[in-house]
Amino acid sequence: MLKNAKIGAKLSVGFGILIATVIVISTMTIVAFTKVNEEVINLVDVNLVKLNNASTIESLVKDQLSAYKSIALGEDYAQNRRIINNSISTNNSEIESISKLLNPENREEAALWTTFINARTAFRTAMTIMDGYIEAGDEENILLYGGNEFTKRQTDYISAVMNFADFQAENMNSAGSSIEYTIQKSIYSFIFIIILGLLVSITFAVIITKMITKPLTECVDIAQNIGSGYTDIKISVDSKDETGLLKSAMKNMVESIQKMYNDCVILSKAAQAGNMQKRINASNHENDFAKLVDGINGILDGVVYPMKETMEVMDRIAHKDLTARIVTKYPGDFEALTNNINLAAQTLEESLIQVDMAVEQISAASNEISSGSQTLAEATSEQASSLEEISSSLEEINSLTGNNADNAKSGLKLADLAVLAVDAGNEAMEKMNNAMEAILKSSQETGKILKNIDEIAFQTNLLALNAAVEAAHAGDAGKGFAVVAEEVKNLALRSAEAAKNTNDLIDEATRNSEMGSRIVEQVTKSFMEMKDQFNKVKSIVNEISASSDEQAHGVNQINTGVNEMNRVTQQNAANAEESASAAEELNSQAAELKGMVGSFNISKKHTAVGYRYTTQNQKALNVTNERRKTPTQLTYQKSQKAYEAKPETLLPLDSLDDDFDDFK
Amino acid sequence: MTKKEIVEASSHEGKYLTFNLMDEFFGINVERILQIIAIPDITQIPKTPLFVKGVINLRGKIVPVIDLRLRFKLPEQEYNDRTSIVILKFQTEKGEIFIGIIVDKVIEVLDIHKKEIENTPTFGVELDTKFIQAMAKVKNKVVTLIDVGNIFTDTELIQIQKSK
Repeated sequence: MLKNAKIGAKLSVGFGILIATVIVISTMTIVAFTKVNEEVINLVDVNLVKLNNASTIESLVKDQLSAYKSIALGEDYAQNRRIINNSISTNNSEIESISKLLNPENREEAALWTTFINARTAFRTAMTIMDGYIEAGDEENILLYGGNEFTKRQTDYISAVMNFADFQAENMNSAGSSIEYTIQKSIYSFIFIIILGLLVSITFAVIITKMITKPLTECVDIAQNIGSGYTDIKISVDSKDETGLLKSAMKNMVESIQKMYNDCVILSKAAQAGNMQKRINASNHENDFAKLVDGINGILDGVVYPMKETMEVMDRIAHKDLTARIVTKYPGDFEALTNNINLAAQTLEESLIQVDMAVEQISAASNEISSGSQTLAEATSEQASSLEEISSSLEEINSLTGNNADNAKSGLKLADLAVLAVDAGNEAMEKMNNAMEAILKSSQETGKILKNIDEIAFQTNLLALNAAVEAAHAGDAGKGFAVVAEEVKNLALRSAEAAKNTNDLIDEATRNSEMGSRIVEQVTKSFMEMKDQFNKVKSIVNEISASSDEQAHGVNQINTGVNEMNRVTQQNAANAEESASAAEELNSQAAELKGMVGSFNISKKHTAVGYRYTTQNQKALNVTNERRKTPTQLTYQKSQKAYEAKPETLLPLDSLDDDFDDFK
Repeated sequence: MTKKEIVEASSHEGKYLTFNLMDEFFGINVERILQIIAIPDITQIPKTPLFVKGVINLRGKIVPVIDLRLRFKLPEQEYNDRTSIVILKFQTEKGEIFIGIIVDKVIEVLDIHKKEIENTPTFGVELDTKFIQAMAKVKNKVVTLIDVGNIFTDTELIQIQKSK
């Protein structure tokens, strides 16, 4: 029922409920306030006045009493009388106003009021008596009466007033409680009504709002979907209000777009499938969509014609006729397209010509590589055999070095022995020297003795000559004596001769001894030198021993290096073989490529294009020549590369390259 | 050879003491010889001829000594343990005097016969021929026989004598 109502009606219902709630709450408020107001007015205008008047009466009576006391004490009579009179008149008016306000239904109040009136009458009587005594100046009675009867009346009077006042105060209290109760009740009622109203209002507000916003949100979603490019949207119209109208309008819109989209999809699928003849029927669409369809059809037409020619040209190119070109002029981007295709065909043709030439060069280069790789392989195998020789030589060196070390050790022992022997020889030489000196000494002694003998022989000779002279002097008598003298002389000569011979022998012995002494000195010196030399020999032998150890160490390092070189060489050999087989494969592939290139129709422009690439061709030839010149360098670089490629396989030597430099 | 010469030569026959000077053999007749001694200490005398070497004490007698090498103007030689002195006797007006001559070496006392003696040659001898009495050939050696009386002139003898 509500669902099909217009949005205005829905909103009216909602707001009506809200307004009704407000009206109920307002009415209730007014009633409650009126009641409270009445009670408050009653309280203020009646009870409070009564209380006030009673209080005034009480204070005035107390004033009258103090006035009377002043009078009794003989103070200013006139003034006190005026106070008394004024209070009486005021009391009268007060009493009159109270009596007007008395609640006739309240019996307790009436009883209290009667008691008060009676007390007042009694007090007024007492006052009159008192006044009589004052007029008469009967001070004794004033004091007597004033002290007893008058004071009693006055006290009764005040208590009556106070009772009345208390009653009024109590009344006011109960009235206040009543007001409080009324207000409390009103508040609870308000809260209940407000909650009820709020619940109803919110329920309705939510229902109505949902009724309005739900279709609107759906519409917004639809619009967003369309905006996001979705067209496959189902819309159900389930109400007849404005939102329903909006949804049905959107449904129409979506259907139009869907139709357009579906046609476009069919067209594009046909185009994707290669059917470029498919077109959209413009009569199925209206207005701008119809124009759009016409435009799309036109685009297809504009694409299809150049494409057709392009297809033909491409077909020719596909059948290896690289001379095919698009001849028709097409406007706009198609001109660029056709130009590009033509340029592509031309470039392809030129490239193939270049490929043809390059293939020939590759063929030549692969031959070069093949022969170079074979050379490398041979060189590597030679290197490997050299390395084998080096390795075996190193082993020999190693064993020789070991021998060296052993020999050095035994040489050291021999040197020690030799030093000992030299010391012994030195000692023997010293002894020999001593012996020589002894010989020399005794020779000298013998020489002296011989000299004496010679002297004696000379003297004997002289004696014999003198005897001969004497014998001659004696003439014939001395003849016998002369013979004796001759004999003596001969003996002396023989003695001298013998002494001389002995002396010669002694001299020779002395000379020999001296020579022996010198020789001993020389020998001793030689022995000392020998000892020094042996010590030097010892240190040298020690050095040789240490050097041998170092040499052994070095040889081991070299051996490791040579092994590494061997490994690298093996790798080189493998690489060279691979390179050779790769070159052969390259050669066969180049031949295949040449056959493939030959099947293309490119002969027309061959010379012109060929001229254009002569410089590059020349460069390529130069490169080939360089390779031919330095095959060893190339292989070296290759091995170097292979070596660098695996740095983790490097030997842990201090500086491998330096070590190898030493052996170059 | 004249007759006189032969007589002269034969008159030189007798016993001679042979000695060496410069490895040459000389001979002096033993009649003129007092004694032969080994060379003793010689006391030099100033202001005497060069060949006078000094004087020696021969058993209490002062005997002048001359070097025969110097007297014969031969080169001087240092004395050695073979150098000897031959003491000669001279008859002067003042009586008999002794003079020692220093020779390199005394050899022996020889009997020289007249067949071995030859007259003084006119050449081939280093000495002044006035000192030479004769030449003798003995045992394959040539011995120059010295004429002792001609070794010193009389003035020389006086001079030598003065040096005592």
